[in-house]
Amino acid sequence: MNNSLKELRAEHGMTQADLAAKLGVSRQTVIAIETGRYDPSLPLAFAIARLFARRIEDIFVDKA
Amino acid sequence: MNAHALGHDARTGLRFFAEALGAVVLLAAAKLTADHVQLTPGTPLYVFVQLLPVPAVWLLPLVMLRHYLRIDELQRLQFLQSIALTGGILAGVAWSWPSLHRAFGWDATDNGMWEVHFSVVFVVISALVTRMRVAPRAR
Repeated sequence: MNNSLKELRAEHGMTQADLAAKLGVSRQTVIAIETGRYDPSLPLAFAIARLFARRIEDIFVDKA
Repeated sequence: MNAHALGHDARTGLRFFAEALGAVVLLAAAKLTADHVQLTPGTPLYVFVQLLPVPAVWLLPLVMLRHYLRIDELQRLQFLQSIALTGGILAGVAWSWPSLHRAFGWDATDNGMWEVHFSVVFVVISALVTRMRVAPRAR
């Protein structure tokens, strides 16, 4: 799954640590999501979408 | 470097490492005491000393549960993978040991220290799992 989390975070002037704190996860998890090595759970994906006021499908895109 | 200079992730990891190490040391001490202290069987002190490893054994799962409740979803996934792989490897060793013993005469001088072995293998597997999942890919 591809995602635009890194770009969204940059748009909002947030560091990975800021985003991790807002989402209640570790910075390691933010890095793993941004680099595509980990696909978040649905609740976490919803939390990300809510934070950036976007729809999940605007942030996470299926590779297929 | 003090604790405040460390990130939240590193502090969580270090706390788990310290607690787990403490539990393993306590367990090893309790087992050594139970195995080597010379007491008359049947006396209350003997029973007490022989029961010392029991709470120490349960301390390790308790420490692991505490850590599990503190970490986030990716870390939980890695943690569970590490436990599963460690359990699998040690089960493989334990179940193949009788054959190795019969074939080569290797003596199982383990003396019930599987928890210590579990801890050592667990640390190595955890490091590998974390590295595989999170370390930047080689390009």
